[in-house]
Amino acid sequence: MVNDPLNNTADDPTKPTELVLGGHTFTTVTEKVSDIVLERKTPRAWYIAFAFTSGLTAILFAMIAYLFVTGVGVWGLNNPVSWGWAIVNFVFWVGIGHAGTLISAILFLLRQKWRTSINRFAEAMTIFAVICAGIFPGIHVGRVWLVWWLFPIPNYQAMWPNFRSPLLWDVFAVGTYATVSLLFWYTGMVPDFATLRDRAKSKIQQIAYGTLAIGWTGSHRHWHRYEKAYLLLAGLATPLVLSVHSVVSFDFATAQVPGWHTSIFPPYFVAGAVFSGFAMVGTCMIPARQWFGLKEFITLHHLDNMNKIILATGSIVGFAYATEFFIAWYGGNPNESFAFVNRAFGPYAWAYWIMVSCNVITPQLFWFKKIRTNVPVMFVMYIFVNIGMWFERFVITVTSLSRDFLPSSWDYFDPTLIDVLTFAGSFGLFFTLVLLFIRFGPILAMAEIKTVMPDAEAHDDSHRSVGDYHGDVPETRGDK
Amino acid sequence: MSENKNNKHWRSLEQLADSDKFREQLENEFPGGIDTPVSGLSRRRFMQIMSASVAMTTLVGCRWPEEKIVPFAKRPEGFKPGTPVQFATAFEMGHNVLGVLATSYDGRPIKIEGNPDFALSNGATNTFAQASVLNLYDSDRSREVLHDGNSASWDEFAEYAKTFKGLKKGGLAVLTGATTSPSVKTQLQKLSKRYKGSKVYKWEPVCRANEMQGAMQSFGTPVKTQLDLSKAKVVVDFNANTLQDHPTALQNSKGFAKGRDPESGHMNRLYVFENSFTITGGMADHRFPTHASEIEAEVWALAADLVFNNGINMPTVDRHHLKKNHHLGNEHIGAIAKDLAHNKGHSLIQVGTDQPAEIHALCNAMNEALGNQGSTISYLPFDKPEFGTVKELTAELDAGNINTLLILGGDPAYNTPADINFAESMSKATTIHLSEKVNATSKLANWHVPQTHYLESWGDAMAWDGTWMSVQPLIEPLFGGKAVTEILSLFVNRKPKTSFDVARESFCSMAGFGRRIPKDNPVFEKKWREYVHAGFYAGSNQAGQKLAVTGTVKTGKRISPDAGNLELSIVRDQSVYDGRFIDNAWLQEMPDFMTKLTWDNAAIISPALSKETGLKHEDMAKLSIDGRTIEMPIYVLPGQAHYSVTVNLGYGQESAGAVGKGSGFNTYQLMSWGALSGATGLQLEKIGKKYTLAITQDHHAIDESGAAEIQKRVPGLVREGDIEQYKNDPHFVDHMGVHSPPLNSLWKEKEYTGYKWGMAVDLSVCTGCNACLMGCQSENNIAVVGKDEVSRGREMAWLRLDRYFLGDEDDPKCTQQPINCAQCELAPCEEVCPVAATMHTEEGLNTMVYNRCVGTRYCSNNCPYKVRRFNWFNNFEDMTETQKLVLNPEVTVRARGVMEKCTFCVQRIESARIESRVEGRDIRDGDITPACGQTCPTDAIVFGDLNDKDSRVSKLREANRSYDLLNYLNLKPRTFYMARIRNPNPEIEGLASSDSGHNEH
Repeated sequence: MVNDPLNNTADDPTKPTELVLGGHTFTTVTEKVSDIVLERKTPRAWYIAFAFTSGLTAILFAMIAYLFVTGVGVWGLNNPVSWGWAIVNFVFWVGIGHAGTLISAILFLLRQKWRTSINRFAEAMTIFAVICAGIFPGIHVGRVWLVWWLFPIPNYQAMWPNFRSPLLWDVFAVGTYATVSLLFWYTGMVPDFATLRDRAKSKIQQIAYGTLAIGWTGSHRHWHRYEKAYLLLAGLATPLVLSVHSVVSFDFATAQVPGWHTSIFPPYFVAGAVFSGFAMVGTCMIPARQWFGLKEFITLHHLDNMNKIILATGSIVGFAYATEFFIAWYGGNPNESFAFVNRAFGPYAWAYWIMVSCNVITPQLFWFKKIRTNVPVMFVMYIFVNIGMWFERFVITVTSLSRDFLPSSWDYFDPTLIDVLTFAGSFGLFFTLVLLFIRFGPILAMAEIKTVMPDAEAHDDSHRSVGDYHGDVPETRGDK
Repeated sequence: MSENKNNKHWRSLEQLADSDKFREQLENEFPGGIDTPVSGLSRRRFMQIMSASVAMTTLVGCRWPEEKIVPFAKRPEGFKPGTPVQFATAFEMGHNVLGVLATSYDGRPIKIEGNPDFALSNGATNTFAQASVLNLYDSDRSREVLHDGNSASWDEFAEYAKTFKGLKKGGLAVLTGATTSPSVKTQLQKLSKRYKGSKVYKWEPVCRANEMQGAMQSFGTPVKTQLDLSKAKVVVDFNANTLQDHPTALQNSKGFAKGRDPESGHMNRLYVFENSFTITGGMADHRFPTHASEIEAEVWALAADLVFNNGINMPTVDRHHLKKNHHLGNEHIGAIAKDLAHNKGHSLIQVGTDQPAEIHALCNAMNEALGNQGSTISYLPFDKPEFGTVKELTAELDAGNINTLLILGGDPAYNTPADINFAESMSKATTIHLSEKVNATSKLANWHVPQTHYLESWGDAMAWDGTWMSVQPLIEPLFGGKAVTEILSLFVNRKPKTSFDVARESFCSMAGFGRRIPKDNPVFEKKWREYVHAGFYAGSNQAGQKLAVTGTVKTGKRISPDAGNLELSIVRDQSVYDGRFIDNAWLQEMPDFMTKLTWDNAAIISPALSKETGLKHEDMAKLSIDGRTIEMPIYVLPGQAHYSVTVNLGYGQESAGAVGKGSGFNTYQLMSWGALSGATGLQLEKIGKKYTLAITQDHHAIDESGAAEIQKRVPGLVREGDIEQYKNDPHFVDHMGVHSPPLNSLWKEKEYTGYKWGMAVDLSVCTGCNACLMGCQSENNIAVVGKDEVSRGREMAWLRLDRYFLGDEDDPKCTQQPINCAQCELAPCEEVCPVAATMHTEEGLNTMVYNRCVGTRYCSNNCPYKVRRFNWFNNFEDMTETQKLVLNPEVTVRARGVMEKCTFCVQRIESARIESRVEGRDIRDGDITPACGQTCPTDAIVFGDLNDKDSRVSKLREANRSYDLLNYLNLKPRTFYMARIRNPNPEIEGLASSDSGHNEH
């Protein structure tokens, strides 16, 4: 394994881990990444995948249209369970949207160089996941044509929204997060768009990428502004990573439903979000690196690091489950203790145990390096984590509602076909956007990768060419 | 139709409203089905009827039309559009007659309430009377005369009626349902005289024949038993369901509630022996699940114990037989007998209509021996008309002795016992069927004539205490029907009369003005007017008498059903009664008070039998008795007698309309002439199919941990205690439920200085009769969503009755708790709504602003009582123009995607406010009664101002028994509950194991 030219996971403290393998130079990096968009013939697999996902997307919009015409009753909701899959899906997708910004912003500020080859992809995923997430709260309201009343927009009733409602906080939290993530992602892509513009041969591509590159010339002034902006956005995005899911968790924590009303939710939700986000990044990245030959950039070392984060956040999630149970007993609130007994042993025990097996047991396997570096095995793990994290939201939302204070109103939630198809459709939308990005966008941050390559480090000033520098380099070096 | 030719103005309205000629003209004018006045009530036609009706009411103030008088119960000066007015009339069903007030809004009746001046209603009503207004607007009502299935007209039928004169002797027969109407009775007598040898037959599937026969045996005369439960200290009910199935059930409930006042220490005691839970059983201090077929033995054993151990003398009861049966009762009979003997003159024993006449006679003897006559029970002898039975009728038909059969209402082709093939027999004569709908019988009849609804025609009725009741129309016949008296008039009068004439003549002779209506007699007109205005003829009620029991009682037997020989018990349904309300969506969606079942009937079995047979909830089973078989689903009900299977009547009607189609299973197939209320010999067989039942509580089978949690939680939710416990510790309710640290609010709490509305619900006297649910349904335009939606848990009721069982599932205690929006002062729903669509008013009402609501449903999630209802779809989309007429214009019809809930009947609060402002005063206690409290027979729901220290609700708030539901959440609900106090017999309490320890928490 050590002799595998693409395995850079060996720990050798005497030299830094190589983050780009395969003897790439700056030129070959640019060629490799931009050829995916500009030169290479689109693989047949892409067309098949795209046909499939866009079909699912069409189903999503058909379901939404049906919903709009008929009413929220097309879903399986009932009187105690007024929130079902729509809210589960919302929390699930928002959670997935956490990985991108965490990788780009927090790891950037923490100077984790390995982030450079996965950050672009993860950021894109964040945006797409937030798009998917944003659909659900919008369509789940009873009178969808009035959903704009949630925003503090002047209206004929001359009314503000209710600032005490966590749903309103959601609007601001998710809105801010989506905006900042989008800006951050786009800002990072500007130099790469310029590269694509310069290499593009067809008129359409030149115009499209030229527009997106907003006049980037690679001048020092541009780079200076760019790096400042990137740093500021990273600083702005970092607290949002923590805040958005905390606010989402307030939807539950501030309500008085037993099983929702607990103060552990904000950290527990954030950990869960990072956990699920990394699993989803992995789920998408493994096939992408396989099909587009990006193993030299997204190396085993990267995957190994991601798995370590999954292990850490997964353990936090497991610990949170245990704490919840402990507090339910220790808190002495009979309704809350029943809510937890009911989760584990009531009618939804099946969902609870799926959640526990996927979220608590699965990540613990990542203690073993062999598993952390085995690509097929980790892919399966990612799938499990994705399933487990969806069920976590299902368990929290549905089991708590289905049996609250008065036993007379207890009921069981059964999803309808519409519920299932809408959820499946949201995956369609997500992967359609991912596929479009792979096909038309710079899926690796070319400019950034170059900064972590040995070429950027070990030579004199004459070799430093404009446009290949990225601000992740220690100050001392330039003064030599 | 109208004979009133000198009133031109009226005549044109009459045409507008409905006349056959006018209809013809209209058809000629708009050929090709434009506006289809016959087959559909179009907007145009609706406007015509409305204008006629409005004009009708307007006319009252200025003239006195000979025919169409509609006096007001509350008379405004002239007619004010948009002002609801109430008219007194009477609702009759089977043997039950209730004096009611019908609310009319711009000429259309929208709500039925009890007539507060009528002694047997006292302002209360039952579910059937309240729901009956919906039948008026049923889209499936018959709209035309049918001759052999083809469209015909009333004139054609009247022409045909002329041939009756040539009928041979004995060639005419009339079949009627139970009717108390004096005018119908007179007409039937006239008919018998005019057509020699003709005979009147009667068929009513739910009847009191055994009770009547028992009375004949005891007293030698038919009697109407008059009860006064307010005087009873001990009541023993043997499958009688005295609080619901008796013709004076409303009065019984009121009397029972009066005798149950824990504050004064005045507590009666109720023992119930029954095979299946009834509301009376739910109220019992001691309930003994007993097979219906074994009740006979229990009654005998009780009588024997009274005679041998308590020195009660019953000379008319066979001593030998008493001795033989003494040991047959259950272990507590001795204690019950002692209790009865201690309360001589203040006790009451009632036996169900399913028990044989002999047992009713025995019951009469026991009541006499206990000195209850003249106190809790008295008898009203009456003229029982001599009608033949439907069995005799079929025999006559089969023998070819009947040429023409006139069927007045009902559906005998559907609702006769399976061993009477009425459908086939009726084909042997020319049949005329008067019916509101084209039902199974109408389809077979040669002539079908649409019948008027009772709110469309004149009539009269006789209440159980002999009161002469008036029935008056509120609206012209929507679909041009005819009243019973009008069709009978074709037979008995040379010149056919209208229902108005018949009713007036009937009143005339009753009030002592002779047989002919005196012309220009102001005294008569005044009396008539008073009669119609009040809804009854004051002073016509008769007092019950003491009657000596003379007939002897000597036989009785004990049949014990077992696994191979199950007991079948056939009872009327709480929703569709005997089937007549099959198309009434309000009743269909009203949960049965005990099973919480809607839209269906099921075979109710005991948990023990379920274990023995392996038949589970919602399993389809084959029921067979005497070779007759049906398949229906199983419902497992705690507290059902072990081998007793109860089925409800009235479902599975193939001819039902759009509402009732496909609803339930026809259990008449199991009924036989000799066993109308069931018998032993039933076989139950699993057939391996499943069926979905739409149940509003316990939608799904509860797992063990859930069931254990319910048992743990309920004592804190529905707080109850024994009278001794209450006397020893008057504050015992405060120690129940979840204990919490001191409760503080997150917000600065609002002070309520003006009115502060609150509602008290007294669980001690709430019987769970569902009347409040129906009151709310019709007052607040609650949507009906249908079986599928109910089984998804999406029923829309603003007020629900939570029913819990406590203890042993074979012999549980049952509790009922009405739950509506509690209008919490610290409402959790308000904080979470992102658009502030639910807010507090200055008076503390938690209001829903429908036009602000976007439907996030967060409020519903955060409501711990789960009283909020969401409009998942546009629930009013499929309503026809006719059906929409029943909607209360004072209550907004909620749109799709909007949350709704109980408003404390804010429209009633506002109209009381307007009235008080006009009169320049404050709103007084009692000015406002929400629809639920208004209709409650036991006054268990009290509404008022909590800031008024003298209001009834404030006094209840201060009472020791009052408590807040889920008080540890610090919601400050405005609906609060009064703990239920039971009064068990200490001698039995010691013996029964299931009673101990449920109040431990």
